[in-house]
Amino acid sequence: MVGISSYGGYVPRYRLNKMIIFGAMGWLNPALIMNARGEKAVCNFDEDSLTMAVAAGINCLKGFDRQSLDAVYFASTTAPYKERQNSGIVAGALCARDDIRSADFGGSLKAGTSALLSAIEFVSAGSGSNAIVCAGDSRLGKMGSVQEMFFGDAGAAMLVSDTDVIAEYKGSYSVTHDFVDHMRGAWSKFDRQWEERWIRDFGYAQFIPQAIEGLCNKYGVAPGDFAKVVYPCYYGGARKSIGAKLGIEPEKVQDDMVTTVGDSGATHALLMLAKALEEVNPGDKILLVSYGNGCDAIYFEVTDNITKLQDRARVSKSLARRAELDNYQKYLVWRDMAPADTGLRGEEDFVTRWSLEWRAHKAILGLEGTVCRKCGTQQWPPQRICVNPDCGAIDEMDRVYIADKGGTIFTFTSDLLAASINPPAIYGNVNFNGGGRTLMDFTDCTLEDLAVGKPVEFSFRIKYYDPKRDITFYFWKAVPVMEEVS
Amino acid sequence: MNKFEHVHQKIGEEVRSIAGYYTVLEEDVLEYNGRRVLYEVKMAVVETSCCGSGGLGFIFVPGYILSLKDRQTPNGLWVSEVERIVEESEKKDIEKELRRIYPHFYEVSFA
Amino acid sequence: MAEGIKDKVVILGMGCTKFGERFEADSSDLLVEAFKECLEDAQIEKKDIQAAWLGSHIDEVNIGKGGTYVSSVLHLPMIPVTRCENFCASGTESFRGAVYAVASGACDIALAMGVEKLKDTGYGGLPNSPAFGQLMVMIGPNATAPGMFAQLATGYSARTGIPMEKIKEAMTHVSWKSHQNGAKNPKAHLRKAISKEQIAGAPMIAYPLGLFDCCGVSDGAAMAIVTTPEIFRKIKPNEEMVKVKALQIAVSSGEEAGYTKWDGSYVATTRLASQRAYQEAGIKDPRKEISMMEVHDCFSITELVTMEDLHISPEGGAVDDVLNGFFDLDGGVPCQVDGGLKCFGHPIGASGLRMIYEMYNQLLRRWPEDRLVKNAELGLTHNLGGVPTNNVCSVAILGL
Repeated sequence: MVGISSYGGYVPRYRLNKMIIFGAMGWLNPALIMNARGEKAVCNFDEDSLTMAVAAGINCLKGFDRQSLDAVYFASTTAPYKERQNSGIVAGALCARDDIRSADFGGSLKAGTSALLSAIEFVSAGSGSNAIVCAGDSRLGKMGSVQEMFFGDAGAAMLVSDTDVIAEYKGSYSVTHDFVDHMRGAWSKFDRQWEERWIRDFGYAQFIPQAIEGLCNKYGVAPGDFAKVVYPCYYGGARKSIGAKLGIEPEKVQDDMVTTVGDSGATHALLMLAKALEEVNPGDKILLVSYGNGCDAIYFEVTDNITKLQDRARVSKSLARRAELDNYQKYLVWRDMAPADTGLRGEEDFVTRWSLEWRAHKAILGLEGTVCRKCGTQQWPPQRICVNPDCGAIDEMDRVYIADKGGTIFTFTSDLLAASINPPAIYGNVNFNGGGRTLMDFTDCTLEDLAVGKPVEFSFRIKYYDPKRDITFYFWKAVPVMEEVS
Repeated sequence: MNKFEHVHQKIGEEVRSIAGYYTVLEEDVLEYNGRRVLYEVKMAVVETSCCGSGGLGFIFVPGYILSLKDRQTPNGLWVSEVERIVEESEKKDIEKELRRIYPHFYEVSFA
Repeated sequence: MAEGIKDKVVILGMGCTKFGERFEADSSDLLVEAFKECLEDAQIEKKDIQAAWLGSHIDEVNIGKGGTYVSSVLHLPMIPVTRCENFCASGTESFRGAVYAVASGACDIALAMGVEKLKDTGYGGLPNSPAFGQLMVMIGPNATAPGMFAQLATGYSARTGIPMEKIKEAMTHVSWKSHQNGAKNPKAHLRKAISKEQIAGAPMIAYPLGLFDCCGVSDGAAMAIVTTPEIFRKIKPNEEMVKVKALQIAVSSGEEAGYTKWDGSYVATTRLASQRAYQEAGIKDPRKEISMMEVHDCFSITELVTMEDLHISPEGGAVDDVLNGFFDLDGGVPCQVDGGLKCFGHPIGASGLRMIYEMYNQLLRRWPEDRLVKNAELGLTHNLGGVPTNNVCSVAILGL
């Protein structure tokens, strides 16, 4: 049996109330008030589509052996690299083996489901037993645009396997149309869209029913048979008419999170699916439909295994861990939409040395360290001579993956003088669980969240962005483990 | 026990260290729960520190006013009698209000 | 067991510029200013110098690499000139080169120099430089020294159980004392006494370090000419000799930063370097025998913790010693008698030699009464470069 064996979701901690956007930009575009309900999720200054995809992947792989992954797929329309495979970075951060399949999916908001179908077909064909799809998107609308109101940032992940499946894959139906409601050229930063009435009435209201009807005809089921119908569409009116047209009861239509997260692009269908999987029961049929230059409709049936999955409220938990972003200008600077002065010191040049990066890539991407065969001391970064002064063994090291081990705070500080676009910089020494210590950045926290001895987990983040050479460089940061939000 | 004498610093005087300086921009009074809270609005510039540069606004709250500027020190600085604010909830309220009036101030500290 | 450096080398002359924001001076001006004083004090000619070392830290401004710049500026007679760099210990490192050269018998008279010209960067602070390898440049936090040393305060408080308020009080005293001493010193960068209330009224820069707990950026140069006691006697038959009693350097092994035994409350290298220095100098009870000190007070907490790491204050006793005035100018072991890094200034490569310059002049009783340490016989200098988890520490002891 092939299907989804686990899922993960990631909603970044910062939420921007849409009234704050309206307060800043309503003078230019008063009609924005129509879209100013609720809030949108905004990734932190050190996050992007790729880091959110990794975060969702980590969430999805809780309890799974990462060495058993045979394929890692990444889906996004805002991938940091056009050339340098993004899924390779994701695979490194997830500590997958080197002998795996990897691919990037983009170009359309249905890239997430295209990747999911590819993973399903990869496993169905017997090419491998486990394939993970990690999606992340952080799309930008111009200041004061409707897109700025609608778009939100998030990550989602689906693990597809041939055993222990929680939702069996039953079939799919796709349609492809070069229907340009939204577009972004290869060098454009901002989304451009055509008239909204046309997108709503001619786009969503036409293609989604077309995909659903096509799937139902193909597999001999009716729209009403599904316990969950999951499709993105942020026009409330269109959702109502689609439901009525197809005979789907409103409570079976999955909430689109448009007022809590916003439309997370290629991620959104998968994020909604992850949220739906929190709530389903064995035997439930699920219909997933993506939207973007056509549709992918995918049909799943929930198995008994769903009851064995631990910590199912994954998207909900991520949604509950939140902080207000009460400053629109901060959002603009973080997304590089307005030039900010970082001082003369910020002008210093810095070269990413790729040959060095390659030598250390396991330590950088997977936070891989070494453990001494002689004395058992775990250490990071990887050492050739054991750091234990009573040992000092030379070249007696095994490799060890540390990113999922967590650690504790040894020392910390909040620093006003360190150059940062999110001052004050917070960093300190972290003791890794199992041994070893290093100085690291802390993120997604305030000074008040920190205390010596407090547990931390590690989050894959943007370490720096080099605008001169368009290099996004990633590394791990420590995030204090928060009390569970019930 | 929480009463103490607060010596007012000279407004606008640069107090210099090797790493930078700070100065009291103004003193003002905040009405809170029928009581009068004294506070100093200050700014610091860190322009010659060995390890970076920056600057910040910060606010210092000596406490509730018992008597305001009713005598002077031998070197001519005003002295007020104030009561230290100890209740955490009161501190929180006062800090919130001050942060509303003075956005982006780095620190609000109490005596 | 090697017998060490004690009494084998003496200081023949020293020079030190005024420290400060010397926008009017180039590195060459600073070097010439110190060299002139040094040569006059030594009562020799330039041609008598047989080897030279120069400490400087930052490459981006100042003199660049190698020994050519300084040799050309001073027009040294094509002798060996070596530039050395070891963080804030660079000045003491150059002194060590010159002292060891004389002690080995390789030359009779050697010159040790330190210079730093920092006020050409266009901003406060120092340029970033890769001190912990290129990998850390890419992935390490954009940390600053106040941030790193601030963590020493939290560690110290955790180990000793001394509340942070009391530690803050002691740090305020440390800073107050340096300002008192610095105000009397015409060569100091900052000459302004300040009240404890004014120090306490400053904002936090990196918790729990405030504005007055941090040192600054200065330009300056300092140098020393060293020789054997025999040659000194020939040149200055009737003058007192300041001898090198001990010279030690200890460098982190990576254990503090990467292993989990170190508790973060002290500087391991200072403990070792000072122990070795006392042994080399034959000092049994440093608290009683050391007359005065110049230590690396890059931050007030560093000075506080250093008092224990140098085995002057008992474990957990530095706070009380500081507050009791034990390190004040009229205390048991006066510390930062010239104002320290915080008031005399900190042109990195010159700082080690500036400290030795102060000890040298105090031991020879050349200073006016109001800043003279009474009955000084042994002076200790201490530099700490890097951060508490990974650093270079130097300790020098000089005496009559």
